[in-house]
Amino acid sequence: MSFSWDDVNALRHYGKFIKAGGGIGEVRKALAWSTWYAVKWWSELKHELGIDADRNILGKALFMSLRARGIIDDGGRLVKRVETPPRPVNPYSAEFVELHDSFDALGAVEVAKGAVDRDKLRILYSSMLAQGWYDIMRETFLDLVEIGRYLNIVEPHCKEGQLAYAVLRRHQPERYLAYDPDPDDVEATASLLGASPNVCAGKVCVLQTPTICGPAAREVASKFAGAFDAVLLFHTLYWMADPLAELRCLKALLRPGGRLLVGQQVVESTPGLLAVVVSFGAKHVFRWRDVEALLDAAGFEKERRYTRYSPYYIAVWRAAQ
Amino acid sequence: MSLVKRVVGEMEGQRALADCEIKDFEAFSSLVPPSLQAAVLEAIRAGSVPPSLQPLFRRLRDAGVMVCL
Repeated sequence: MSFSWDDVNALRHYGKFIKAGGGIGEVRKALAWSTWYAVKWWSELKHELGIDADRNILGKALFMSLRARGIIDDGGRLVKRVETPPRPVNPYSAEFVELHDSFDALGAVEVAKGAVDRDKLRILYSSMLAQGWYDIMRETFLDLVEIGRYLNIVEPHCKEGQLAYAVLRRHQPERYLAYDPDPDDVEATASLLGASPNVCAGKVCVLQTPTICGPAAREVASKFAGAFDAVLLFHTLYWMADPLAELRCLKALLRPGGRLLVGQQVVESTPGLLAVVVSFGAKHVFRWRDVEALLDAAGFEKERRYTRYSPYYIAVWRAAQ
Repeated sequence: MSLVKRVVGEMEGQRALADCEIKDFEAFSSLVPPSLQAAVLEAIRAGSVPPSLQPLFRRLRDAGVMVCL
């Protein structure tokens, strides 16, 4: 068994997650299933869609992640055999594989063609966010970036509010602003947090807006909290229509030296999981170096990087003066 | 925070459920991973939804997979 530099960092910083998943052996089996499914789905897309296989976000994620592992070549042909791995028995590792099973039942080709009902994808996405392995991943991230140090927090693309709920359950920030373009997600978040949508009184504000760059949204945010201490980005960048513009606007909301707490799945991370998640409406897929280039271009300076891609990109960046 | 306070807090976060049932078992069993199916059915039986499952319950109702009186 060999360990990369990133594996060692994952062990160092993500020990709780690995322990809950049954240890390295069990987690590796789960990750191997993610790769195995990615190969299966890519083969299906190539067979059904031919040269159009990577012209949708699911195909693009599969192509980039399998290419990064040397499993396919530049033409998308399989060049490395991937054996069927043993099934993990640890409950958390097993349910990670179950998520892949459920996505597979929808049919990767059907998803890529946009033929799967949006409600079905939303149920699967909600299921993922409610699974135990995801909860541990979320909690471990919040521990690692020391969320308790930040009193005024803004979270873009809050989706159904589980991350905000996890923060508010463990920590008493003075102000927490969560926003999302989707009215259903805003309602779900507000309901979970016991708040009213678009009512920014008290310590929680859940706002429906596609971007924080608009003058009205910016004004609401500034009135609500003044300057923020931290932006929380947990698997968020790929939902943004224009990540660079959004990051620049978020930087303008931060106090000088405010932090950007980043966790982001990248193509070098678990390939099957990335493919599943981008199918829920992502607009982009990133390599870990793309993430860093983006944050740098938006005016942030890297303070500390914990992991590059295993289990996903994790770092703290500071708003440059 | 003490354990008792945490348990009380978690109980307060639970949402009471009206009488709910799974209407479309085929969709439910194919879309919701097996270990989570058990948690959903348990919540229906108990008549209250823990916060971690509230968004999923909302989606299941919106899609007509679950109906609540």
